[in-house]
Amino acid sequence: MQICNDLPLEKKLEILSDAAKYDAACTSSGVDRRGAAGTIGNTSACGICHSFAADGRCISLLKILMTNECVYDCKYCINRRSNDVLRTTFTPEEICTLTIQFYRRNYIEGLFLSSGVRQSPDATMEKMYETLYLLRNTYRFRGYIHVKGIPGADPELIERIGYLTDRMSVNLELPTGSSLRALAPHKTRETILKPIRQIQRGMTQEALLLTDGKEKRGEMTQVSEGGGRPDRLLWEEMSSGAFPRPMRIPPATENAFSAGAGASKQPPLPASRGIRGDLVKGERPRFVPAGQSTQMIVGATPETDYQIVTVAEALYHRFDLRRVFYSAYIGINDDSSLPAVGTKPPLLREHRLYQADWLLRFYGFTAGELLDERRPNFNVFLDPKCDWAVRHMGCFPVEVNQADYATLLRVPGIGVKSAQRILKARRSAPLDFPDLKKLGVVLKRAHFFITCRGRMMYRVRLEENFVTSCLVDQNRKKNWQAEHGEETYRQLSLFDDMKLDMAPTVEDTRASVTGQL
Amino acid sequence: MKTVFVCGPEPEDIFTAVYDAWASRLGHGHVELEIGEENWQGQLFSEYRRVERDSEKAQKVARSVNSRISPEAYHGIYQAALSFSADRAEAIYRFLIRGFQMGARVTDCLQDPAVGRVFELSRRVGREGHLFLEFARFVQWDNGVLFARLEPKSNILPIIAPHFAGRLSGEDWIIFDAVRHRAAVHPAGRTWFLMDTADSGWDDMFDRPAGEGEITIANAGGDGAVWEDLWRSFVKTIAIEARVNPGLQRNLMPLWYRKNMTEHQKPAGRKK
Repeated sequence: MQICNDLPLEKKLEILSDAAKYDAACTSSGVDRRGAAGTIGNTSACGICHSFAADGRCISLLKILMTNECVYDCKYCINRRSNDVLRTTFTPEEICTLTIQFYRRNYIEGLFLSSGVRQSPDATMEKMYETLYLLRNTYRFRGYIHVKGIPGADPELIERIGYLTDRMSVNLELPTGSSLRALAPHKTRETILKPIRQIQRGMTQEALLLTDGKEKRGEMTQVSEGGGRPDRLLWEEMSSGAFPRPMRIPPATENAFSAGAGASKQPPLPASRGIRGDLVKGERPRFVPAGQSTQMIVGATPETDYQIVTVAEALYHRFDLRRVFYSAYIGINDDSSLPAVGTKPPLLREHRLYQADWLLRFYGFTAGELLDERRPNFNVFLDPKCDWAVRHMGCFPVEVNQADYATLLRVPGIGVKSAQRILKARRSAPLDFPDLKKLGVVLKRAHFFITCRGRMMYRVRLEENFVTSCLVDQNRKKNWQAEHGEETYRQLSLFDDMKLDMAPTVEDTRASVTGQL
Repeated sequence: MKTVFVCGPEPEDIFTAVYDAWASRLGHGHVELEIGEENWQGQLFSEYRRVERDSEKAQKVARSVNSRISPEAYHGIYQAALSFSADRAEAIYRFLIRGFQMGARVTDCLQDPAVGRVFELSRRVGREGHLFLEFARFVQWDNGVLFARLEPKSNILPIIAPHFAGRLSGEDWIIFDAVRHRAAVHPAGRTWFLMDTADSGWDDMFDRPAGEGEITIANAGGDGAVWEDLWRSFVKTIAIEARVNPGLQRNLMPLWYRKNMTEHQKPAGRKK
């Protein structure tokens, strides 16, 4: 391992951004902060992506590692101790100038600072704190900062950094404790969940401490953003008891949390309180105002989609996470316990997980409705929402002019925005299919599941196999609309409709070779 | 026979035309609004009236929309007025007829064609504005001024300038709309303003093809280009080879937005 710290800045940036690129999160959302005289920067709650890399992922923040030196040896990681790569470290000044100069030119929305573990988690976090302190106070930067929490660092350090950053994330790395033991021998579930719990407590505590009425209202809306899910009970009935059990977290971990919580219950240090307050007079520093996120690697270990989604659900409900990111495993290290180098990353699986993640957060679905132990993986051909809908054809069709918000959200092709628009628009006049199109409803999926004033759009057989085949077909056929006349009457096919699947016999093969078949 | 009110392309012109058409008392069915742009074509059998910009009339329209319909509706028609679509004036007029009938509820009735059209125009402008918040790129002149050149389809300067004024309040910056020959100028620590640059000396300085922004003011070895190179190399290294997906990249960042973006320009052509 070669350590080289006097490289030119360009080379350092190349090495340390290359090493950081496997981190999935690059969001700049969740907090609105206006600019102020004498400082540089503001933030916008919707988030602003500044560019898109060749892989189509957004570039919102300057995503870098502080150092790629690491004492850990996580098998999946490019920076693991046993890899022979050039190691280097940014100085705090270098990080600050890079951030400011990029920010002024509108290249980035802020800084994403992660790091390999140099010496110890505490030493690393200390250095990260120093960087952020310099950036906020000397360089007077008010833009977005996302920082990685290093598991095992001192709770007090996490607390101090929490007042400088907008979002903090601690990577869960792998969905289950056993995979973590297998692939990341230096990390444990407890050390990872402890800071997550600490940040959660810190945020709730702060929300309670806020006395200023105005800010309190802001806080309340933030809370309801996650909690404002439509009525679940309704769907509990409809989904025939497929309601998930809340995930259990081993009791040993719970004890670890309460220990950690004890530390965070102490009032924050006076020094940390004043940090952002200095920047703008009268402004109260806030603890991790944009919330926390985490990330899991998908495809490196044998977990099922059901396990992953259940873990994500538990994280949202029990740890108040803003986002869970899924990262398709990319084979970079040669290791017997990992998929081979050059294995294609499971991008479709990752995509399905993100779709399900949105269903959990915004559509009132539960993990147990989407998947269960008997069907532990997502359908390759259908997105999770369509998949759920065709398995529950009994709930459909719904009448667009009468259905409530939660019911509308369950219809494939109707999203959060279009459902809200439907509610508003139908107050003044009943809606018909062309109107729905204007409101942003994707009719090619929705028309199987809705009626407008009692009529469906086309004559469609409401039957699981038929609707499934139409929906699956749509992905291939762009000209579905021209052919919708054929939807009602179709030649029966013994093999497609009766789900008969026979392997070709030797005779068949021979016949096809000789051209008889 | 229809009477067509022909107005200029700015929101103020359009609002004046709305006022005049409304006050003409010819009846909503007998009037039409049009933008008199370059290759504008008249209709046979129509009477034409030229509308002169009158900020007092425009303000009256703005005020009554705000108070009698809703601020949300005003925001909608203002953004729609910044659009590049030729029918924007007419769309706003039809929307306001419905608006003054229905009041604040009008912005919810997207199924109404008049409302739907303004919603569509406004959304389009809003999206383009947001994308230029993302994709505007500043180059630094040697005198320290940050300069961004844009070629937007819609007239988005008034939407994006406040964002940058808040963000870079301590910087001198100029955002130049090369299509409309107009610039948003922000002196450090003061408020920003719009400036028409056509036929002025400024235009020659601002209006350079993309990639040559760096040499507009004598380039005596400022370190601006260093950061551009660093940014280009960052954008290159941050992509994961195993996931390369140019189709997705194009979806999220269409090619026409890339004309003036640092990372899509070659570093060559710069004086050292």
